Amino acid sequence: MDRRTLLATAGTGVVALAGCTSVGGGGNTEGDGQSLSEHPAGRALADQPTLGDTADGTAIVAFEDPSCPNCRRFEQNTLPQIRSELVAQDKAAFVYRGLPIIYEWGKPATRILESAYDASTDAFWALQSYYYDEQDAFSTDNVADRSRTFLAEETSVDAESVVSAAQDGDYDPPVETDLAVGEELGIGATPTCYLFRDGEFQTTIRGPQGYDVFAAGLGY
Amino acid sequence: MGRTARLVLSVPGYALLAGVVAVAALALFVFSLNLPLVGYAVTGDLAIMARVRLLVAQFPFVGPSFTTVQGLLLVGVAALTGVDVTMAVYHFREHGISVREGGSGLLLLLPLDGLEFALGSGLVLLLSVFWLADGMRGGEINGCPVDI
Repeated sequence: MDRRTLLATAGTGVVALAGCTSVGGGGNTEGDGQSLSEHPAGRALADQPTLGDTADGTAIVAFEDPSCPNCRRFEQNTLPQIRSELVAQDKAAFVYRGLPIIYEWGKPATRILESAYDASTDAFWALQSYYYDEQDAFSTDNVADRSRTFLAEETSVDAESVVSAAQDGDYDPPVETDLAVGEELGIGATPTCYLFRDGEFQTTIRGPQGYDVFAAGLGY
Repeated sequence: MGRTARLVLSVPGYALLAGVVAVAALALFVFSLNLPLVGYAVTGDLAIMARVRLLVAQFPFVGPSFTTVQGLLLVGVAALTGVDVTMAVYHFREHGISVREGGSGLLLLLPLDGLEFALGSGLVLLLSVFWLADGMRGGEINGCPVDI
């Protein structure tokens, strides 16, 4: 292969790869102007773990995977400030939607989270934090046992029934709902957040962005 | 390659061009990862400072989107892009455009979406700089002979 051929091949390959990695779309395909209830990100909203009140239509809907390192950075670096500066001051709500698309153990973890949420909101948020805090220690083989132990020791829920229900497939439907919404929205990476202000969709925010991006995007 | 690049960048105008291209390349890289957000920053119903905050926060070491390693790689690739484009401009201006170097124009378009692409594009850029330097051998830059 001569130099010109190599250069042309490499250049074309780079451009093609860049196109493949462009996740989702922009503009109207993402639902510009749609309300939280109309937008796919708001589907089955009442069933989602939520911090704050979504009644006024100002909310951050986050699609996350417990096995995703970028989600861990978002949860540990950005979410605490979203909680204290936006949620606690009734400026916006934060909605968590599980989208297990990164590592395999994220799938059983997300089902257990759904089961935990059904048992106790506090248990859900505690387990969710535990997954991110101890992310490197989890695998498909140990996620059920570690979750059971954590729930038994750190929460008031019946750990065995929570984990068993998830393993029996009782919580596959809500996870499938989130996956279907994620596919409809073209989400290929986590975290991906959808920003709604005064009842209208504003924009999509990808990656472990800082608090200032969310505040600025919501007009604060 | 290094000597040729240094000689080209020793010309103030070309050094400025390299800096401008590097910043533009970095902006292209980071903005391409969040096009809807960039569109919202530009066209959304926002105060001017909110627009600036949204855009500035996309850059490595300003916002937390990238780890230190990712940020260094992105900045490195952007700097290499600046050097590469500047050397190509210098070469085309001083030596004329030939079909032989035409293919490298494709390499000037290097948007990326991930660490692997940063690594890959860095390699490609280094090759491009090397070949441009190779093509300049026997000439003069800023009064200095290029014969290494």
